[in-house]
Amino acid sequence: MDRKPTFIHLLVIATAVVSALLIAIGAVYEASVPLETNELRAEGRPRIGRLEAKVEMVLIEDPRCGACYYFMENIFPEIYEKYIETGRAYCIVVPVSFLEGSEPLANAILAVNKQAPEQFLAFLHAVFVHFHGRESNGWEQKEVLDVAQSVGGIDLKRLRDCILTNCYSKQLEQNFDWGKRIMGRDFGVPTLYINGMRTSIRSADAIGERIEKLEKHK
Amino acid sequence: MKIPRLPAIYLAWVLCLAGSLMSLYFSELRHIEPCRFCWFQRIALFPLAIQLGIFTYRSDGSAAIYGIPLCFVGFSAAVLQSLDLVFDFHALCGPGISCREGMIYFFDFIPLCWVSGAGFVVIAALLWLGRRVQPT
Repeated sequence: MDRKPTFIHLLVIATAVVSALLIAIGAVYEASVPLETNELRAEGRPRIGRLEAKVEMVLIEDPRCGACYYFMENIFPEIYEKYIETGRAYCIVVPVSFLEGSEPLANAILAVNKQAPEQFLAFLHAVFVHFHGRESNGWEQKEVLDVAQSVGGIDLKRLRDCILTNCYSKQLEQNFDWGKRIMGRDFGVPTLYINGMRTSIRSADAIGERIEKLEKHK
Repeated sequence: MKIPRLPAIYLAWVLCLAGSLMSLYFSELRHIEPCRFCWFQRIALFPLAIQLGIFTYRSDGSAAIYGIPLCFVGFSAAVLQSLDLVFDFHALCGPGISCREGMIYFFDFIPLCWVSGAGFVVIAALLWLGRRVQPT
């Protein structure tokens, strides 16, 4: 049998080498990207954790988004316990409302942050849990008040007034525009930035790894 | 050295490589999380990107036997994702990353799942065309 390499053999080898090179270039590029790439300027929005922490997380989410619920229920608690509660990181939450029926919920989230910041996280979590997997039915305004009542420590009258007047509509609009500006064509929720860099939300481990890398870097 | 016509299996392999590299680019460099259906499409695509290289090197037309079922899996996942996108069957997507929000569009109107589905059809067709090549 003729063992001389044919054109096809050489072509296959060349194609494989080019592909491997592209992967290697991508890996080197990813490894060389500076850990802190940009200032997001997300201040002034709801914050969970202490501002003195070294690492800043910015979480953009819509209260009616299923993937956001999944993140808040399955991934965020571990991050909160390991890094936020211990003062190693803080998280700025940027509510946006572009899904059907999310506006009253996003308004309520911002209102609770303003009037009872200590109840913010509990209320945020309760909103995601209560509305998860349910179609918008037009009763969100009333139901979100029930959620607030169950959380406790929230002035329901003020909250109702805020929801009815859509008092944070301008802020929500700004949040949405801001999200679109920083994410560009890749706009989506939930999105997490850690010290200005968009980060995988696949697992708590992946997020933890990024936080720890940044702590060492500082 | 005589330069022969490029075999169909080689073209199928190049398509698989392009798809795999693009998928890795979106997930690893642009940090866009793959949804459940995207993962099924990747499960079908990534093995093809390796197998078809070996089949091409060996000029082995039996690639169709192994490759077409994988193309079918990938195509089915792309169809389900398209249904989710068009008819809002989000129950199909399950918990976790949404199959609709954050969808990548080519030229602002062609969703990635359509490109993927068409890609699997073309790969399967090329494998079918290349099935008569005898092993060296």
